[in-house]
Amino acid sequence: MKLRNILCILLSAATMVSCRNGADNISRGQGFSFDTYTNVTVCGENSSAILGEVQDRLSEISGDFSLCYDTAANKLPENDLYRLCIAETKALNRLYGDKINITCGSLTGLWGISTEAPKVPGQAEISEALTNMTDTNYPGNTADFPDGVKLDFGAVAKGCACDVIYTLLTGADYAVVSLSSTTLLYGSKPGGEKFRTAVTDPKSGEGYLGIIETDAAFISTSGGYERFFEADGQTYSHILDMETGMPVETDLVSVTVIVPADTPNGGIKSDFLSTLIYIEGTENLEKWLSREEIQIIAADENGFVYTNCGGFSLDENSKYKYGN
Amino acid sequence: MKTVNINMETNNRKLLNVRDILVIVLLLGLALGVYLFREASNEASYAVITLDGTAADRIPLQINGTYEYPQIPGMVFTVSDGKISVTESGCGDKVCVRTGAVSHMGEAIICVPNRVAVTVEGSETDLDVVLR
Repeated sequence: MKLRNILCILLSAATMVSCRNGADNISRGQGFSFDTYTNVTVCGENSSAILGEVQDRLSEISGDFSLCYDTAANKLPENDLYRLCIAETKALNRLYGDKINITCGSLTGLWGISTEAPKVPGQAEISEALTNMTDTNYPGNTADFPDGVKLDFGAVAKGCACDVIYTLLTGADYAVVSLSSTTLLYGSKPGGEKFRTAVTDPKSGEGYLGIIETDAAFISTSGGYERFFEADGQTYSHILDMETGMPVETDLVSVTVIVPADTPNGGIKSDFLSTLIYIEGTENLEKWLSREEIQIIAADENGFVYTNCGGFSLDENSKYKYGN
Repeated sequence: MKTVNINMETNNRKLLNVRDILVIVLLLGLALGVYLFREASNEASYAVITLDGTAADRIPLQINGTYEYPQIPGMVFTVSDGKISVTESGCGDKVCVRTGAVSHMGEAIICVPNRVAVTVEGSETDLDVVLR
């Protein structure tokens, strides 16, 4: 009888232990970089060492990018990060057009949208800022930009950061690097389980538009709902039109782009394209949806969601419907 | 005496005696307790307030209330109907206040000027990341 009782107890103890999640090689860290909140999870044998490296590199990269706000391009230090980001943006400009231009630093500074005191500038100031931009045939080094030009990597900085971080993760089983609007999903989860990414509901900012199930990927979201400001009863988006110098007018409210993780410099590509597709609006959406190398989830102002992403499912509680 | 002993031995050979049943009931009760506890803790989501990347507090979202912290002057966090929001903030852009109320796991309110983040944890544990 005693033996039976002991067996019973052992068995239930074993059951209880197996109910607990036995993932002890996961390291997770949060911080502030890129004017936002970052969250990094690394799973693997040396997870805490890798996490430390990733976090240090993130704050370095973030510091390099924010230096551009108050330093002219040709006064910036020369480093590999700037070189990589300039070269990759230039390549993307060649492929996809000039709607995104990293020489817009004077213009974005004028609007001050990501600062604490955004304002609507006068037309004369905007015209002057526009003359302090170059075309997208950028030089390779910061030192070679003309006087008066300031760089703003806002549209590609987080994507570029994810590309750099990618190279630090080779020792990890899997990792999730979240820079708020751009995420790197690295490696593979145990048992081939998919990564699950929620996209914020752009209308209310509460709850989710839906969930994306993917393998390793770079995912970026652009939208006018997170950063904007109001003046004289009008709402201004933080994404600016490079021709007029005014905030873009688009009928899309949120665009998410998914690029497979094995795409070279896929982070900057997802970041660049989410902004570009957002700017272009529904008019050009069909063209983007027919591309096979990227997956898109686009929500328009009328509550319709257009997607070519098989792993995406709308949240039941969101007020959106599929438009295609 | 000898007869009694024999009877006891016979009793012991039964599949279950009173003590066995007691132990089984006890274990079943324990299992039920563990199950209910796990269910309850699944329901129980809470918000983590982070200042400069360091957790400052964990707020349960089941009880309505307002929270203020001396190390985060000017900010008021309000819990209502299982959701948390920033209702007051001394920052310039007020992105945190405009974000509204959050309640799903992984959702967050971020105040960059104050270097404060509010993240919801604990209700739906299967998400890897939330894009904002």
